[in-house]
Amino acid sequence: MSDIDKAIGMPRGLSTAGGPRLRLAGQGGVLLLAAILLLLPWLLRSGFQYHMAVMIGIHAVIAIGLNLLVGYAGQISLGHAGFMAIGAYGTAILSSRFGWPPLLGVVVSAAAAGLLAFAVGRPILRLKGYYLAMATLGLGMIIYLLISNEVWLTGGPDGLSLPMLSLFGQDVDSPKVWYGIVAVLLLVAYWMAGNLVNSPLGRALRSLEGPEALSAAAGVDVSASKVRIFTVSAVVTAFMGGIGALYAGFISPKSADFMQSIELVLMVILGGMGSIPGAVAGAAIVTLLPQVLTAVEHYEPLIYGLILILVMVLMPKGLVPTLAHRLRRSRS
Amino acid sequence: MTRQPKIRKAGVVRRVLSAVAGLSLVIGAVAAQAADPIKIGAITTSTGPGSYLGEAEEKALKLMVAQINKKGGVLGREIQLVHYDDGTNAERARALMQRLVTEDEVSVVIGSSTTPNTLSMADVATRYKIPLVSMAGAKAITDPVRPWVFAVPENDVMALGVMFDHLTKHKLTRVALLSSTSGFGRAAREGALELSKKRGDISIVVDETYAAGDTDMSAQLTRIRGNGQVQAIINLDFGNQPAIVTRNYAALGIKVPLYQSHAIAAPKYPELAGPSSEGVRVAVQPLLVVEQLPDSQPEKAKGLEFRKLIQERYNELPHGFHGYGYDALLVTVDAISRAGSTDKEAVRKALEQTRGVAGVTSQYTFSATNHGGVMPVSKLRMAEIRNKGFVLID
Repeated sequence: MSDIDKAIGMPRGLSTAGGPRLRLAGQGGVLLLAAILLLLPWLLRSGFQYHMAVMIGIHAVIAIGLNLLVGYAGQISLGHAGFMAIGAYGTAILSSRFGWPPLLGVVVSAAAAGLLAFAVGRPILRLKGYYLAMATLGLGMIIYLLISNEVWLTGGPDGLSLPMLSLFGQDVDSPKVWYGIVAVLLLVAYWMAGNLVNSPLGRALRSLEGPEALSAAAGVDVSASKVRIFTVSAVVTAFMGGIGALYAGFISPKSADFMQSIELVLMVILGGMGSIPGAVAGAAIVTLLPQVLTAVEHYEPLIYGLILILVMVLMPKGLVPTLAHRLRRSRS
Repeated sequence: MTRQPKIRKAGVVRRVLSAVAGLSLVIGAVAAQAADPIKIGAITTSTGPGSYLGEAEEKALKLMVAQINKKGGVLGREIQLVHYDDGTNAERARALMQRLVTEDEVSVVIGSSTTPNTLSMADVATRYKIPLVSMAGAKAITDPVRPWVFAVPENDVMALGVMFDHLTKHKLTRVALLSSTSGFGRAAREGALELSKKRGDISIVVDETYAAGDTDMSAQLTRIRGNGQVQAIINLDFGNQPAIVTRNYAALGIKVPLYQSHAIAAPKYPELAGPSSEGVRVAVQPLLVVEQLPDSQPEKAKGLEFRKLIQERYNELPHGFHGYGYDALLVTVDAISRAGSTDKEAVRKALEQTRGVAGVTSQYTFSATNHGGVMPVSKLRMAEIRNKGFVLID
């Protein structure tokens, strides 16, 4: 961004000068990620390590979707665990109570989450800053309360079990197969997000971070763009919620609670807002950290919090953008 | 000049370190020549709302594993306890269970402290065919029987029976039910409604609920007070909210007696509820009142011994949840020693053949159709809170 752009507060996306940027979100990024995903099985030894890899993959896709909303469009959502829960519970209820094929359940639940996001998006996204945070928080809470109290449908606080996913007449039981499935989904999400960001909609989104009047003056339909990206991120989140529920075989309202929403936002912020590889890195860290910290039993929350604070203080832009920036500086 | 001592110091440290490393290698080689340890996994709810359950269980488990190892272990092998805390989160419990099974490769798992966490782990136990001994108390854990899942505590329905017996004995037959809508409270409420229908001696005239996280139950208690028929109030919940109910109950000056479930029977409850808990009746596990038990009770001698151990190690009095930890380990170790190996199917079979193993909270007899939760006679007793302590009552 040129100094003149900064001086007049030119939104990033509409800026004339792009400036040097590590283009990990482009084709190269997809290839790099594909290579990592292909090589990773040589490092994974136990079923548990595959389990963690699958969980990171699921969270990474959600973080990529949420990053479009939070990182690129600059709109906060503290209710995304609610969409995750719609996907998870929709899949669970449709498949275990109504006998639907699980994957159809995932698709229908994701569509339902999209419809909900589209319906509430317009009024909610008129709000800004803290008010938007409160509104999305409220949305998440409502979904959480519904799930924990409608016991006849959701099983309430005791949770709900799901049938095993079967593909081509085979039960998908092994973590290795799940690794393959999630790896493909992650690659697709990564590639699509990269394309979206560099499309006209993507540029419109990035402009939303700045003054809205300026975006509107540049011909961006502010309200429609926000609703569109809110819906997209809700669909992605709900879809992966459904996949995650099928993988886990069990869900409880805990997956819909406030802390889960915070964790999702944390992945985006920690990894780096507006950076697709950042979302993947953030998901990996937030998913792995609690497991690594079981070694310091009872001090876990303390050290977890400390690490997060340190990262935010030392790398306010998030892990990947900061490291990329340092790499560039050391090169030049 | 100032640098030199530093370097020398570093040299000394390095030499000591390498000596220690060499020594530990030798020790390691010796230990490996002896038998490998028996790995027992444990997941407890040591943090979060259920922490007073899991913390006690964790302490008992760690203490007793050390005790067993001091006496030479099981099958001539040491026990290695691989313990994790699930933070009152069912999904975390499930991930940790997976970790115990596939990464730590334990032979059997003990846990967890609450029902949803146990149920989420039960699926993993079934899938990987590994025995699971739970310390949670809902009927749903062992009814219907899952081949790989066992439970140590009496289930919630049995506990309600003890309370109902006491109410009938004192001719308090019209009761008000006040329960939480969270997992335990909801299951116990359903159990109570069913039991009252089945027995016919207790009629539930008011049925009020509150949500998890509510901080004032005066409204529900006022409605209960307004009903002239009510002769006693039963509160079904665990955690901190029963203490709030107790404070509200005292503040409203309600005269009919208040009954609390066995899930709050720990010194923490009178501590949280303060003076308003005086006179509240609670179903308690024998360990909490072990010194008041008649000498003829089989649990007494063992309970006193265990209490001494806990007091020496942690400087606190054990309650029923310490007891569940003790008993879960006892039943597990007993099964491993009868099985003569750590083969999972052999341990599972041995668990099913548990006969009259006497723990500190009860005696355990399992079968192919009874994986715990039900005893011939309940071991719970009614106690009243007097001077912040639990006193047995008739």
